[in-house]
Amino acid sequence: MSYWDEIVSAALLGTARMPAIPQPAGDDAASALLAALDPADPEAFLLSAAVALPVHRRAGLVPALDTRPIPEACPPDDLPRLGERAARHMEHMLGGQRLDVFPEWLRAVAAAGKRVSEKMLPTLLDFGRARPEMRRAILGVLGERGRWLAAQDAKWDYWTGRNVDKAWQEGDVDARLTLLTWLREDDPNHARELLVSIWPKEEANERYKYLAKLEAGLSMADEPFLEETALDDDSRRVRQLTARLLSWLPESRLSKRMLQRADALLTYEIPPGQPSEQVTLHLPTHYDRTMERDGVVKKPKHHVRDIEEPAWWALQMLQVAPPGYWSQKWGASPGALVEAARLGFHRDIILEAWSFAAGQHRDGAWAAALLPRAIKQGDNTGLFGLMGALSVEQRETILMGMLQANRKPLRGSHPALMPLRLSPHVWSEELALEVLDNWRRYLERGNARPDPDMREALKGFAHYMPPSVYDYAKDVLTTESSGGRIWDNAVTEFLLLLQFRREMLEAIDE
Amino acid sequence: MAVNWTTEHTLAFAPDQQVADSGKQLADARQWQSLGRAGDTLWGTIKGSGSNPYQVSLALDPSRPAFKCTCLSRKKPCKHVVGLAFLLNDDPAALAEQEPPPWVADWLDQAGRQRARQPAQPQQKPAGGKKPVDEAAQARRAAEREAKVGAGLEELEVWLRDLLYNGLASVQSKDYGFWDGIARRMVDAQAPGLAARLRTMADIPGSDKDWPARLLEQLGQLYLLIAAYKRIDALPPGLQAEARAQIGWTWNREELLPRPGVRDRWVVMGQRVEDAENNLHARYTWLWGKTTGKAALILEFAYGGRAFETPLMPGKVIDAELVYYPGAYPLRAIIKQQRGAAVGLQPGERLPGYATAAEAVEAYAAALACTPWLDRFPMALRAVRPVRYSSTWVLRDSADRRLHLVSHFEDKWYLVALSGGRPLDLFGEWDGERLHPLSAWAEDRFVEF
Repeated sequence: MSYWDEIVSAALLGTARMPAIPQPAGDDAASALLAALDPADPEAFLLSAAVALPVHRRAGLVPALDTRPIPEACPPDDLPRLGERAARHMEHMLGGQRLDVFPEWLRAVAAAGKRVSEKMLPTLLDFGRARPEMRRAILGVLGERGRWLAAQDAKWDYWTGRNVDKAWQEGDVDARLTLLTWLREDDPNHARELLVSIWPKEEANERYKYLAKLEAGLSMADEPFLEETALDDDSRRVRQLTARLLSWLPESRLSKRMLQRADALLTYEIPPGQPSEQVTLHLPTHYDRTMERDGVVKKPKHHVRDIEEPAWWALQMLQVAPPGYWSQKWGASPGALVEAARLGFHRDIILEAWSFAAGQHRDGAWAAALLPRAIKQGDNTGLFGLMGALSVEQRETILMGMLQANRKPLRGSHPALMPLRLSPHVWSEELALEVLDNWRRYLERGNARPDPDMREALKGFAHYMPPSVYDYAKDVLTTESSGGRIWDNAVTEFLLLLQFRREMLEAIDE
Repeated sequence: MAVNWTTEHTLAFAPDQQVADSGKQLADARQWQSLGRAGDTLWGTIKGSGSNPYQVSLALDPSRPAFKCTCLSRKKPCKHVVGLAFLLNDDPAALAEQEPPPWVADWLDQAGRQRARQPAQPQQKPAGGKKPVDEAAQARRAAEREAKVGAGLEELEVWLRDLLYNGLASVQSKDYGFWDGIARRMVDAQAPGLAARLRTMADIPGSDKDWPARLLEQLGQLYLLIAAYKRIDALPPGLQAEARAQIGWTWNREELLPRPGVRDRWVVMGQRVEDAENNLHARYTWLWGKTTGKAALILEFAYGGRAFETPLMPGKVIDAELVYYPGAYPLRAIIKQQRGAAVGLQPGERLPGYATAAEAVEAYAAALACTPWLDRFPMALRAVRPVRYSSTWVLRDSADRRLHLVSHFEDKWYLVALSGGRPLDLFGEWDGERLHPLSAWAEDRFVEF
């Protein structure tokens, strides 16, 4: 206890309880000063010591010598840093406002070859900690400085990939799940090895959660583990998930078995007395253990869909087969086969399975051929997969065609509306103007009644339309309409977001 | 209108938008029972929820408006005062020049006294409008004040001694009133500097584990002021001025201007804005002379969201003549005259500063030897690296000597990011033990925290 501590204790206690104040024992100037005070006046003594000792200490402070090793300096960064305005935009987005635009911002910054300024780095690194799925995009804008900074603190370790094994050993389930998420991006094999190392010790529920992380970065390297271990798991949920993962790998043993089964189910021929080819489904006659092992579920959930068991098994098997298999086997185009299936028996099962498979295997040609049916049937789940299977060029061509072929107002009943809503890429100006022109014709009519589907569409379109059409969009949408206040609010939201995106993208180039 | 009071002044004067809006509603003479003005003072009575109408009075002064309303609103100023201010611009004819009623006269009397106690700020008065000086009256007032301060300090000493007798542990259970009570008595004794110190002490008890030591140090500083005032005539002039400034004697601009100035190219090193009482903001701006190597503090006040009078942008350089307030280690100053516009620091140019930490703390010790009441010391350091050791943060200089950073500095990681592990120049306030960074110069860029 230093003399100053003794003085503080005495002051805390009070001279009523502690009349004898400890006297200085040192031989420094402050002690000499205090020794000259009247010990019979303890309050004055304490108050004087309260001045003398701290002033003495401060005046005498000598900066300590410190030669502990210092982290290595950051390599020079040749990427130009973003300006003040871009930093403000980022702050705005990370503050919870317009977080939905943040991925676009990250892509634009990376594309512009810029990096986040030093000021925003700590915020961004903290933010990314809770968003493992955005880690890769964020890494693209950190620059040398950001990656260096991340290495300076353990809480940002996950950016650098240091100490992964240690973090894995020490982490709880959530930490491990996060770790797996980003490790699957950087080093998918290492991630799987970590998972395999704990696999037998985990509960079914945890096994299921870990296994789901393999979806990212899935490859044939994962197949042996999935086929030989996980597919025979005790838990049904785990087995089904495994079968699903394997079905996404066309080269997997499971996919091949499924293809073999599916191959026997479909025929393509001209039935007697018919003018052209038809695709016909021959329903399977039995269900066995090997089908069950490969993830074919025996009983359809009748409350979900009304389907007979054999049709249900066929659907599941056909869904796994890549649609390209059929066009190659029969030497016919997707369009011809879709047409042939429409003429045949069980056509709904076949087309549903093909739609799913086209989406799953990202087969653009098949997706384009199957699109009209999905639109017509209002099969939005199928449509979602099909739109995702189309390349950006394919999408734009199809959408332009649909808009030009059908001049009806782009409302809920227009066939292009749902496909547009499921096209979350940044549209070409041409497509955006085609959409706006349609609305302009409609809204100018005077008795236009924008419906809820249009309103909903605006929310997405604000993200998809290129900000360069802002002025035109404003012109079109702010004309008098009878959409009422809800429509006006939706328009305001739309314009605000589009404007924010425009400013945000402009600021990146400053 | 004697003062230039605009609607914008009123908007800035209102504590929040809600009060501004409801005040605007009251800018209608028909709602008031009586209205009047005498020069810059406005008043009115308006029916409230009680049986007596509210008495509202307002003395206009764009930099320091004074007001009073008998309503119970916690917002200061309330909507009635704001309404009265709006009325001045919306319907000036409703405010007829007349003799103030007794309740206004009484308030003016009180307000006048209170204003004398508030921290003064440099204010420009219209040139040539000097009133004839009644030297005898001035001397009488000065003597009266000395007597009041002397009596106040005696009272404070008794209070301090009681506190030490009962022990500091006893203050933990005390509320703000305990501190405010003695602070008010110091205000009455015309020692506002002491009052301000006492009010800030109210936050110390229980704030962290070191609070007894920090409180004791603060009490010691007060005691030292009391001791200094008792023998003020025996002190050297610099220390006299210092003690008097600490107690609450102020200088106005006119008194300072004739004093000798220091001309230099001053780098605006850093800035800190503090919320003072009553929606008043205090801005501390540190300057550093490129040639003289002298530091200076420009302190300004502004109400609400209003801009500060002197535009001082950190990172810029101004060519100006400053006049220091008299003191034992003069830091606070006013800008007497600025020549030309502020210019930026050029790439390749650096912030001025001490080459080593040892040099910097030596300069601090020298300043402390001049005045024991040195609160914050401007410290510019060249080529330091921010380093973290688990939970402590330090700056390491080129000679591997370290200084600690204050723990509440929020931009530590930003500072590390700026340095990238390489030395940078830094400016901050040194409290005798730790540094609070305000700005840095890294890779040819000036940044503010």
